[in-house]
Amino acid sequence: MTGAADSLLQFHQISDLALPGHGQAALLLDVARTQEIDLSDCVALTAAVQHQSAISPLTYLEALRSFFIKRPERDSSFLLGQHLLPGHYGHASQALIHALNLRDALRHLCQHYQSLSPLLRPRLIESERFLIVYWCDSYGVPAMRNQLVEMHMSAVVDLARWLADSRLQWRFCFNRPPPRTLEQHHVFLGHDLQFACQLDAMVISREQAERSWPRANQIAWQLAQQQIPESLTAPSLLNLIYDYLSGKLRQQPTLEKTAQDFGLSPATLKRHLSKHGSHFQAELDLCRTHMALYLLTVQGMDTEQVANWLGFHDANNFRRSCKRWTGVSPSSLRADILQRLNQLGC
Amino acid sequence: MSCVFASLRRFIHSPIMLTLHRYFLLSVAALLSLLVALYASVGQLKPFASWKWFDIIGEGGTALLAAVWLGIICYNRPRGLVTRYFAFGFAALMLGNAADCLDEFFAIPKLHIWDNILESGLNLGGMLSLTAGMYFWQEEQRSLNHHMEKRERIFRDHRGIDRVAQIANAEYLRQQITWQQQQGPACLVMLNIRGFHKINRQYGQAQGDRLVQSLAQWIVLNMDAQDVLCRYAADYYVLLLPGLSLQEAGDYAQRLCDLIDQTEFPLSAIAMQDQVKLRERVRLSMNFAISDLMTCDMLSELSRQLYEAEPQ
Repeated sequence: MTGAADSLLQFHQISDLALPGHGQAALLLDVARTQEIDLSDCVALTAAVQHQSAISPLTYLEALRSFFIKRPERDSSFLLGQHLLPGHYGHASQALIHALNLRDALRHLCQHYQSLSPLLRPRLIESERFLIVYWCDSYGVPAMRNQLVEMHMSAVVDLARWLADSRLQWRFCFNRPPPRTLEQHHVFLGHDLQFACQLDAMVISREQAERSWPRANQIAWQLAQQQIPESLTAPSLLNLIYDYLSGKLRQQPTLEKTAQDFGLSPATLKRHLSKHGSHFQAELDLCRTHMALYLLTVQGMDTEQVANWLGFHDANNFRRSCKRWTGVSPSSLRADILQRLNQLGC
Repeated sequence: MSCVFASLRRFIHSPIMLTLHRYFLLSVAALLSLLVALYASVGQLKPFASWKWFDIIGEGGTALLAAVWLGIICYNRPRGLVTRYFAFGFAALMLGNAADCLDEFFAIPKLHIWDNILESGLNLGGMLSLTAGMYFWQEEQRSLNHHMEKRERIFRDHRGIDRVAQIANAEYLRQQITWQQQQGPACLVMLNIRGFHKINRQYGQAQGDRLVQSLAQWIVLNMDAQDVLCRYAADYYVLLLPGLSLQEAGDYAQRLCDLIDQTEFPLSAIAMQDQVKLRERVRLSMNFAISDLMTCDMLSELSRQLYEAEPQ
């Protein structure tokens, strides 16, 4: 673990031993075995699972990459995802089964993402009519981003379908161009897919999210939640910096100030970020894009108000920046997303 | 096709096929040493100066190559009629040429004609046996082609085979649809298993995969030879039915689904988890969607129809 010892801003990095060996790593080995994929060359992973000792995200990601190379079929990511949740990751998994409805399950998932979904952190936005889950990369692996997104979306869809005992009408946004063929997306996720969006997100109407689940049990749910121990692991660097920047967007955060708050020198922070395939400006732009999207669509602000909120001197300046972050102007972004949201459940 | 590669890989590690033929190979080796002993005991060793190197290399080389061919046949083929003819043929050819070659080292008295009979007889017999082998191999290939017909129609491409179900995949299906467009009318039927995700949750993924595979093989057994079955994705299959009208294809698919409803599918003991009793079987039921438009876009439309047929 690195970070300022006295402050709350402690974080772990991709090479730290931050993941439990009995968690998703064990599940990966299990799926590989049933699919007759030999992962014995991932020595560190195999040993950690056997001894139930901790592994680094890097080890887990390398084993995942190896799995995807040895099983190049397009359904590999969805297949892995199907069994990711609730999983056998201790009390957080146990509790998930007793969730009262999808909204509670999603809140639970976002709160206990460290054990339930460590590689991609789900974040939940609850608006009046919709619940939006969007996924943030915890360790910065752009090469596997598409597969990780497919894996995690398929995990949530399959969990919800199982616990709700019915099909839910999800809508999916992908921050990527459409793949050549879509049969796996259609069969594992659904038909409501949008590509070339600014973030990887899944949307569900509030009405469906709050529908009570057949095995819901108020007492079991509360008991299970009380039993979950406080997480002792610090968040990953990218997750922490996202939270930090989101909270300070209006104060025009800089690398120097951020490094200071993290108890690091700017050079060290830069080096840590580059280890995660990122840099300060990229993280800041990501946060601003997400915030702008949120303000434009969920809060219903217009371009002027968003520019003002984000601390831009004028709307033109904001428009230019927005084009740089997303490739489109704020107004068309807003129209585009609102149109998509309004198609949902109406 | 992928199962062929898997088995190939398997017996590179442990030559199972070779051990099947070990008694035959041992007898051939024994015969060869007997032959050497015979020539050495009856014949007179020729002086080194009169050895004809050209003949020795030609005949010895032929014998050696025949032995290599014998090895390849025994290494790659299971026991059976075709294998037997090939193996006898190459063994005889090898022994005949070996005898020919031994002639160059040992002088056999002119009175003896057995060595000439031995050489010619073995060579001719070997050739006859090989010819018979070729003939039966032809028949065998025809029946194998027939066996593969339902799975591959006119293309053979191992990348088009689904790893789990051992039938063609969506990629191959698209090729077939494009090909069928020039061949005349046909129907596409897409089928999926009702509540498959529950089976996966209850019995585990390995068991789900086994069921996908058994169901695929079951449909192959119960469909007509000119039809093509592919795995689209997960528990979604597609049947391509050439020459049927929408009505006929609908009846056909309905009959198939009715048959599946009445069939119990075995759960695999290998993929068994603790809660599965030995010899337990499950019933599956299928939904289907149908179209007589032969386009690849139709596939996603059909999968949408099936997806929306799921209870909400």
